[in-house]
Amino acid sequence: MFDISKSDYLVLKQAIQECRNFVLEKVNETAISPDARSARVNDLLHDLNQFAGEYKNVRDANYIQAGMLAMSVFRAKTGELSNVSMANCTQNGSGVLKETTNFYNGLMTRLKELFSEIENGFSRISHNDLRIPFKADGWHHDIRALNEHNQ
Amino acid sequence: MSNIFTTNGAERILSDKAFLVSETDEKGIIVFANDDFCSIADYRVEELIGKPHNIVRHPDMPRAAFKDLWDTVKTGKTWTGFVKNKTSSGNQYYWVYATVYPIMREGRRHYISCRRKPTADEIESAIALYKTL
Ligand SMILES: Cc1cc2nc3c(=O)[nH]c(=O)nc-3n(C[C@H](O)[C@H](O)[C@H](O)COP(=O)(O)O)c2cc1C
Repeated sequence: MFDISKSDYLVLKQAIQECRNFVLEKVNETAISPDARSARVNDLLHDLNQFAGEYKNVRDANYIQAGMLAMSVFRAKTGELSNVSMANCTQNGSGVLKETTNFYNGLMTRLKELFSEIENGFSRISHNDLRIPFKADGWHHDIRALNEHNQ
Repeated sequence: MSNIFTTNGAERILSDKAFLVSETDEKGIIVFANDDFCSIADYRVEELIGKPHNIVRHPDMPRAAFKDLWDTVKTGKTWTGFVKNKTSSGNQYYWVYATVYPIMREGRRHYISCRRKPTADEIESAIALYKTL
């Protein structure tokens, strides 16, 4: 493993970076081709490509579930309460769980932003530093955004 | 909801958190569009519902891309790809990374599309690819 050539090492490193970008949603697509010189490194690249493909399936299913959720909220808002089956678009068992996690994470990000702003406000009050006004669009905006994110 | 996109000349660039959703019936008639979709495409939801989805089609998009989309989703599979759409005035456009998937609604086949922001590199590759189609 540790006697791989420098060029193969760089190919592998690049592939890992691509996977990382893909998982962090910095890119939407990734394709890792096993074009290293060493058969072992190619085997690893092949695995990485397969994992990325599996991850994409789960992510696609999550997007669709998020879309289903958005539609359910829309229908609920317009008074048309229909049943949408999440099961119909779950490609594997973890789909719904992943989706919930997505929304939870999104919500948490917004909450963290909100809390850090409140904290910031408090620390300015306690440091008697209220020369800079609070953000013009205020907390009510953040709460609305939080709500929107949730939809 | 201007935080959903920024403007660069004729292009509207989605923000990282933009999530555009629309649902069509089996013929591609829009039955639902979410707020992000409406705000980027510059339509009110009432203006979209009942219209065919090609209402946002940009002339730069090759026919082959949509043939591939329909061929894929009609067989029950998920289609993913990059799409350039136009806004209601036709003067602006925006690129999306779309995931389209069939669902069953009250015994009928419908389709949902969920869209996220593509990267600049992905847009470049899509432009190059679509030129060859
Ligand atoms: C769920 C779903 C979403 C679609 N979204 C778009 C879209 O955003 N932009 C677009 O041009 N076509 C979209 N289409 C494809 C259109 O139905 C249509 O095939 C395409 O605009 C080409 O139309 P035309 O050949 O009638 O000009 C979508 C189709 C489905 C099923």
